[in-house]
Amino acid sequence: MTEPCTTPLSQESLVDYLAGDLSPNEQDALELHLLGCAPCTAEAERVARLSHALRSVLPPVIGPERLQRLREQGARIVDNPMLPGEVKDVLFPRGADVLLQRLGGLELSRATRVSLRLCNEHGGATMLEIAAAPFDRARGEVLIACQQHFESLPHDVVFEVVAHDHDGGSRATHYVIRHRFEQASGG
Amino acid sequence: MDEPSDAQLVQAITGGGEAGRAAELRLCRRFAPRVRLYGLRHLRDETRAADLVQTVLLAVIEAARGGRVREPEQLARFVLGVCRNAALRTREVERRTEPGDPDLAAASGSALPALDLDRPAMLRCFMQLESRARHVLLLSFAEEKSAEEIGCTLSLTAGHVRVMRHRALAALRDCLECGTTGGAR
Repeated sequence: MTEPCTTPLSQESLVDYLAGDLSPNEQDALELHLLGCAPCTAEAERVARLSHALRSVLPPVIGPERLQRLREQGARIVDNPMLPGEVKDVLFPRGADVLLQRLGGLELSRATRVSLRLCNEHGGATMLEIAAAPFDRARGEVLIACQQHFESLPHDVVFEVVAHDHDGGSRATHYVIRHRFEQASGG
Repeated sequence: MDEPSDAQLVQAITGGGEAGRAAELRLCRRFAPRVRLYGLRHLRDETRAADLVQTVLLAVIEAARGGRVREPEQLARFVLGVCRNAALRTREVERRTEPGDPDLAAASGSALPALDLDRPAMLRCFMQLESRARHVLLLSFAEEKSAEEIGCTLSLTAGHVRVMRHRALAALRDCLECGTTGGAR
């Protein structure tokens, strides 16, 4: 039977370790402890399952560089360009890795920050809010990487993009996307 | 029956024979999860972490067989040194490691539970978190930003970011394990 650890590592230190936020000395000491301690390793594994899952999550909003890397990795990406104010039904095809919603037509030349809010079209409940989203200044776009497992979320979504300028001004643009997810063909 | 100490395992391996072989398998099962954790932290990839486990354990066992583990009671420190060198080489070389000993590979593999989570459940729990908590988690783990960088982005101190991150992960874990959230903020 494994002996309990007499100096167990704190949850906070394990989270900071897996997030890469410890100093070199702290990291060395923690790693040495983990390599010599089964109970702390087991606890760290519980945290690592979550951090590993989060790490492999493609964030819902991506920048041009991330998009480029996805293409280089061979991801199957379907583009859906959207114009300001547009309301559109869009199908997520079976077999696609990402349905890329290109929220375009934005004036971003003076923007220092772009915020994004996603709301359920029915009822208006906020699904996601990002204070500083990546954006493509040159193309005037915000890129939403819609993924298959988003099927469990509300399908009819209002995207509100707000471009914040350095002089304190801001401009809001809305898009409505009604998602449909292609099902496997039945018998 | 008490588990043998690391030093006892090393000494048995050095002695060889059937007892040495049994000690090798035991050492693999003991250290495989620990080395994988090191791999996940430094290589950011489950497959490469699994390869690191094979590489490191084989190196440690070969050292033990040859009597080169000078301080058997400090085996963890020895393994840490092997991990560091192996991870460095892994980052430089993209080639997959071929397992050299199928029994050792099986022993270490059996000690590594899968890391997969129920993705739809995780997404549901993730979306129940407060917006800023979600953002902190994504910036920390998906975008690999430091607490300092996240703090600058969100106008928070690094300390505040760490607290939020810790609470958000705890809430996520509670939701996945028990089906509820504490509304991490």
